[in-house]
Amino acid sequence: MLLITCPHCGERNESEFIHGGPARMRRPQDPSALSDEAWVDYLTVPSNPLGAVDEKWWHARGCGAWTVLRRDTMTHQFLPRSDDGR
Amino acid sequence: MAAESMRLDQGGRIDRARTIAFTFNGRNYTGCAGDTLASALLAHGERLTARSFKYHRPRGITGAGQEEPSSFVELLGDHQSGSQPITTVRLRDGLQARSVNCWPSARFDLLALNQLFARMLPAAFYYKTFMWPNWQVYEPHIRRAAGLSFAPDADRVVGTYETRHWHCDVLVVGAGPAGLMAALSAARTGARVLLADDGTEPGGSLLGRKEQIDGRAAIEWVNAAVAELDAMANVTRLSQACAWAYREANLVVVTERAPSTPGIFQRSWRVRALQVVIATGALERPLVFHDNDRPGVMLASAVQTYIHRYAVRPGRRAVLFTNNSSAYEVAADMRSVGIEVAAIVDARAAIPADAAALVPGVEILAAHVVAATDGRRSLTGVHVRARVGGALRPVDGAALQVALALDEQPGRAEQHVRDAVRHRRVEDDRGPVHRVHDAVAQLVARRGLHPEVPHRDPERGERRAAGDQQRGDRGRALGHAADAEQHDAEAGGFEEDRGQHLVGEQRAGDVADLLGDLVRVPRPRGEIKQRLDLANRAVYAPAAAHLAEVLQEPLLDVRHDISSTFRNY
Repeated sequence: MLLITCPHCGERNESEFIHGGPARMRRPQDPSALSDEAWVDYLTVPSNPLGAVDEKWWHARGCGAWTVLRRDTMTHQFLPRSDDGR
Repeated sequence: MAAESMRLDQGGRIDRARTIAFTFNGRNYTGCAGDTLASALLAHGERLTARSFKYHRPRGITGAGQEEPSSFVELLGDHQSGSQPITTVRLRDGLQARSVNCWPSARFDLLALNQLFARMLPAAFYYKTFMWPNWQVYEPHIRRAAGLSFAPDADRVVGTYETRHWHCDVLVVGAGPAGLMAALSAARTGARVLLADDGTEPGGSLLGRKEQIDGRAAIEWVNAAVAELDAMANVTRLSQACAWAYREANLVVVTERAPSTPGIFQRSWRVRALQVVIATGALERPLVFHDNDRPGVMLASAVQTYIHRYAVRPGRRAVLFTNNSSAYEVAADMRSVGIEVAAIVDARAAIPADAAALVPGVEILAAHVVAATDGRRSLTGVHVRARVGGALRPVDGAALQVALALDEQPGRAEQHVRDAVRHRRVEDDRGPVHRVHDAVAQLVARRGLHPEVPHRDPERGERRAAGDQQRGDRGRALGHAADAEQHDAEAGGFEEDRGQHLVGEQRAGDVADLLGDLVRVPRPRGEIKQRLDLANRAVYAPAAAHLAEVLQEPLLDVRHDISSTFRNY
């Protein structure tokens, strides 16, 4: 179980959080202009890289805050993040 | 009620004044307070306690604790449960137990008939054979034969299982000498300590050995340490608590099997610790030879435990089979309680003189291996052969009791860590991990023995020699506490130094594979086996090449029977 640092509550168990998917997933400006394949890709095929990823976490069973964290999918380590995640 | 013919008159951690009556496979027995089901049965001279899964081969008691591989029992009555290792069931009044997987009894098992047809029952035999007219016709009968224990028919006793979250500064896994010392060292600094031990009483391997610490009996040291720990408010001590998972960010899951709270069957602790000390010790790894599952074949560490902890003679006459010097100490212990040691079969060519000096007058067969065993329901004899090219011959007298093998493998939690590291590569996020030498290693270290099987990989050898020198000196100077070493994740992950005697991950694997494979000589009546081997040769070829390289000597014929694994079903 990961130990996740909530910006308000500090270190909490992973079980208090809900994973919100990758950060910076931009919704296409005009989905109707996309091909079906590209739209399906956007909806259902998130990238799953080995290494550092930015992802959203929701402290649902805690304070309710959303936060963006950088995690190494290989080591499960949380890494420092320089940008604000948007 | 049979007499306890194999019980020693004195010694042990049992209370002879408190007799406990129990039944096993429908027969009445008595044991003493402090016994396990296994030790109580051994005290009555019972050998055949189980049947193997597929062929219903006779099986006996092999280990003395969690390592027991073959004897499982089902508990009846109030505490119904299936498939408990017979060595971990504490004796209590009115205990009713039954061997699993045999009918009507372990002694006389109808399905033992399968052994006669073993050669006609290859893997998947059942699925492929019972097709006509359809599988459903046969299924109920085969299912009945396939299960281990029966589903309980009585109502459950009322109670609950609970989960507890826990935070501490130091979690110590294991309450042997290393764990107790680590817990004491940490607790004396005021740290919040949780000490979890799998055993029914603290002491670990010290309970099964005749050792001294600080000039007094080891158990007195254990009692003093435990008393000090229990008096401290910052220490929580759990017994019968198995740490079975080591997860991200130092989360360790511990299952406490017998909490003192009424109405709680088991408690699962989720422990988030700043630091984790793994002092799980080592389990002995059996040497492999043909028919090594015969009732009467027992691990050396188990023999010692039965003698010292339970005051039971597990047999009257024994042959020891070993690949290192610790068996000589076991042999001396066995002789001290009147077990005749017929021979020591040692896979090594050169036996250290100090080891041999422990057992004057015992025949030592150097560079020999046990190749086969005799007996139907119990071991009656052993066949040995020279390690390289010798002919098979029976050991003189051949009424042996205990053949055994010594090699160490890590305890469960430790193994789990290694697996995690190997498969998930998470070595960096666990926070500090200390590694504590196994209790046995410490005790052996204090006697100044030397490693038996040097590793010959030059690169690793150098690194190890330097490390050993340094750590060994420090270890001797400071005793237990110094053995809690800061683990260095960069330098080789969890391939830690386990002292001069317990080998590290790589070395343990190498040495065990090497010696294990060496002694798996072609079985005497082996044509069929070689045919079976063909399919599996690819699996063994790399291992064989590796062995030859490590050994730097020609290898035996390693077309050994992989089918002995099959037969163990």
